[in-house]
Order: sequence, then structure tokens, then C-alpha cells
Amino acid sequence: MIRACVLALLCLLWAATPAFAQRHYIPSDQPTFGTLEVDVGGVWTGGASVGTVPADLTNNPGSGSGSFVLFETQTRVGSAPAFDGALDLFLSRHLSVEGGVQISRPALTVRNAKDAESAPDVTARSSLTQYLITGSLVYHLGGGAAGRLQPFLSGGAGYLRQVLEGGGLIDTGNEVHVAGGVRYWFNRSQRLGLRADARVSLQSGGVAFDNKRHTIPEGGAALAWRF
Amino acid sequence: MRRGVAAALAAIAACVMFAPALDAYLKLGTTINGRVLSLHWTQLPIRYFVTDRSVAEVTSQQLQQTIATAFSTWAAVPGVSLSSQFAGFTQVGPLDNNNLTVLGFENRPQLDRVLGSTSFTVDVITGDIVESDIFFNSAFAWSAAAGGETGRFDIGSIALHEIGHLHGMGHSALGETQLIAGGRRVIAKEAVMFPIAFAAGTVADRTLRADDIAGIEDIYGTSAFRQSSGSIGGHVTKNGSGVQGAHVIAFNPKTGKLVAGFTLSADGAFTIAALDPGFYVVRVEPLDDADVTSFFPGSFNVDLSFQPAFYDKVVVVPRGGTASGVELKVVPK
Ligand SMILES: [Zn+2]
Repeated sequence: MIRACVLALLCLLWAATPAFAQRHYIPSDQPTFGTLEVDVGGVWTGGASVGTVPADLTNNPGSGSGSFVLFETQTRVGSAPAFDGALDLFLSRHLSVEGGVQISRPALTVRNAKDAESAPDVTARSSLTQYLITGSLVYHLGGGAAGRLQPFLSGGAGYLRQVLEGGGLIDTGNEVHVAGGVRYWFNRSQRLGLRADARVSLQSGGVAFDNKRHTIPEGGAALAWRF
Repeated sequence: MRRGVAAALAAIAACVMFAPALDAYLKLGTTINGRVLSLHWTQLPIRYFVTDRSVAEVTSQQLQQTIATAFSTWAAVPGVSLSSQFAGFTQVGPLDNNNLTVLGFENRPQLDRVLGSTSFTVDVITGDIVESDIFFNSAFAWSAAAGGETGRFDIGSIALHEIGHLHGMGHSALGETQLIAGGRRVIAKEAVMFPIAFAAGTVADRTLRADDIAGIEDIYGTSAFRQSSGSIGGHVTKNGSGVQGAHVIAFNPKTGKLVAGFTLSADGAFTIAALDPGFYVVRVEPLDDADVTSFFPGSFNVDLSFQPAFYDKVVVVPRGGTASGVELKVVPK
């Protein structure tokens, strides 16, 4: 606890007066309890079909049961690049907790097809502003002793917030994810490096209406700064 | 008016002259001093009498209970302010013009395709409904049985449709039909207010659909409802000119609800109101699944010569506002 307080104080001083902090920063190959890391970068998020439903009329019960399909729709949230930011707090040299945020603007499309009166198929388009706020537990393999390359595994859950274009309407959902990746440190002090990872995010809710979890593949890279 | 198999019949003489109100859902309207006013009740509860006249399989008491249920079904729609009151049985027939709202059986064998009809007496100064009568044509076989009866039309279904008119609603065009000898047969529909009934023996029209609900909410929606719902507005054009009488459908993939309206002016303008906030696809089609006169007066010029089409954007309906600028361009047939 005392060590954590001292580290936190050092960080504050460093942030306020970089020149002073640089002189007094103690390089370390291994993160310890209280070490922080900020990652800022970009990620590519995959798309998913979020619901396929027909526009149904009720069949005349006098001549049949069921529905008459006026046309069919397939709704999809498209793939998109996203801003990706994360803050890690190390609990030990192997373990950190991470809070992250992704912001993207994927397309929202609805494919209209199989029209009963032969209206030509059309894919109607709009867009979403999507926020994904996550919390993860990260396991750092090797704990930093391995040198410049430091692999990691993580898993966690998140809150999905999708804002429809124009109407200001908000749909919310949730997600769980697993990820794996590697950090490459530019020097042995492990203060500045690159992080690359691949994730699988299982999302439900939001604009989706098929009551399924959708598997969204993601891949990204970020600049990592540890202090 | 509700037709059994339907045919190209003129509106019955008892009806006042209707004009389409320049608004969202097709509402009954009347022109007063050059202004089109939508018909609606300003004095609530609506007090109505039931003609003390029975037919085979349906007593006047059963008819009264059925009518009360139908009024309650409309009044139970979320977000509307509506009420009614049964004032008693009467010996007066439903076609008498006497400032009383009367519903009952009337034998009209010459109207061999009309199951029921609603007529109005309107204050020509204010446009308020003074009286509205409904007759159910006893030339047809009727049933009040819970599950319907083969070969008999369900009085509950037809009462729900006619009482929709009594509240000021026009016909919906959410249906598909096929031409048969002497008229049209319904293949499928998604509105109690479609002008052609399902086959005899069925009770499917005792349940309001999304289009019916939007229609009654559009007329009688409370201010709280209007703040929590939205609408879509735009135009339908062909070769740069407005298309009048086009049927415009809004479909919400998330809820599966279909709600429709019409272009009601020469510039092809339309509004579809009382929609849940959310995203929609919009489709337009010509009004070719029922007689045009079931929807508009003969003087209203309806363009039937274009191909159905979808709008190429997803339309987001805001809460308490309008998604405007939905410009649908159609091509001639
Ligand atoms: Zn009718």
C-alpha cells in the first residue's frame, strides 16, 4: 500500500513537471502493483447481421393459415474502423485490470428483397455512432521479463451504446470478449511501445432484434505508454 | 363500409360527402367553407343506442354486448383518449336522421356486397360529429359465437371495423387481393380497417393491428402520446411530378409493425404519424388492391400507373418529431 502511494505520487509529479519526473523516473523491466498504462489507437470491427424479418400480412383464414410475406428485410451493422483507447492498472507484474472505450460509425443497412409485387431489391442505408465501454482482466505472459515482446491474454465484458443517425435515438446492449495480443516495447524501460491484438466480441442488444449474441471479430493496434 | 366479397359499388346514399383530410393516416374528412376538416368526436363519451332488433343467431342483447366490446377495444389503445356509453335499446332504426347515434341491424338486400355501413351527420359550422349511425346488413348471415360459425360473418369483427369509421377513421390499404368474378377476394391483410372482410366464419378481425392502432392514435392521441411518438413525412414523385393517392408503407424491422398512409395532394406529399420511435424502411405502391372509391371520393385523382419501390435510406423516426425529407421516386409501369 505504501509502495502504491509512492508510485502514485511519482506519477502525479511526473505529469505536472516532466523535466523533473524524467530525472527521477526509475526504469523498471517489470510492472508492479499500481503501474499504469495508457493505450491509444485504432481497431477494425467486423459487421454482423442483426435480424432478418419479413413484413407480414395475415393470411385470409378462409383460404389458409399463416402469413403472407409482403417483403423480407435483413438488417445489418457494417464493419468499421474505430477509435480505441484503454487504461490499464497493474495489480501485479502478470495481472492488470483494463478499462477501454471504442468509438465507431458503422453503417446500418436494411436489405429489402423478395417483394410480393416485384419492387426491385434495395439496400436502405443509414449509420450509427457506436460506443463500446469495456472492462477486462489482462494476463501478461512472462511479466515483462521476456524482453521487448510481451504477449497477453484478456477477457471481460462491456456496455454497448448505439445512437441512430438523425433521430438521436439510443439503443443499448452488452458484450463479452476475449482477446490476445502482444506488446512491443521500444526499449527495456518498457515505457513506450506498440500494442497489437485480436479480439472476439460477442454482442447482444442495441439495434439488434434477433435475440442472439453476434460474434464480432476485431483487430487493432495502439501506442502503449506505461508509467 | 365493409364489403363481403366487394365490388365496384358506389357509396350508399346515407353517407355524408367525405373528403380525405390532409393529414397522416387516411381519416374521414369533410369540407367546410373550403377547408378540409377531419371528422372526430369532441364530446365524450360517445353516447350510442342499439336498435332492439335481432337476427338469426344474434340477439339484440348479443349485438349490444358485441358493440360494447368493440368500443372498448378502440378505447383501450394505448395513448388515446376515448370513451363511450351505451344509452339504451331503441326501436329507432340505424338509418334515421334524428341526432341520435344508433347501431343495429337493417335489411338491405339490394346492397348485396355491403356487410355494414357507417354514416355521419356533421355540424357544417364546426365540423363536429353530431350523429353517427351504423347498420349491419341483415341480408347476410351473422354470428356472435366466440369462435365464429362456418358460413356466417362475425358481428364482432365487422362491428370493430364500422366503429373504427364511427371514430373518424377511413380505410386502410394494407392488404393483398385478387380479382374474382364480380369483385375481389382478400388474400391477406394487416388492418381491421381494410375495406374488404375476411371470409365468413373467421374471427381474425376482432384484433386491431399496428396500422389500426396508429390510425386511432393519430386522431385521438393524447399530448403525452404525441410527445413520445413520431412520424415520417415526404413526397412521392414520378418524372418530377407529384403522385397523388400512392400508398406509402412504413415497416419497423425491430417491432415487425406495418403502418401506412397515402399521398393526399397533387405534389405527392405524405405523412405517416403515430409511429414508435426507431428505424424504418419505407415502400410505396399504387392503390390497386381495392376499389379506389373505398378510399377517396370520385373527384380525387389517384395515380395507379407506377411500379412499387423501396426508399433507399433507412428512416429514423425521432421521439416527438418528424423524419422529413423522405423523397420516393417511382417509375411508370
Ligand atoms: Zn369500411
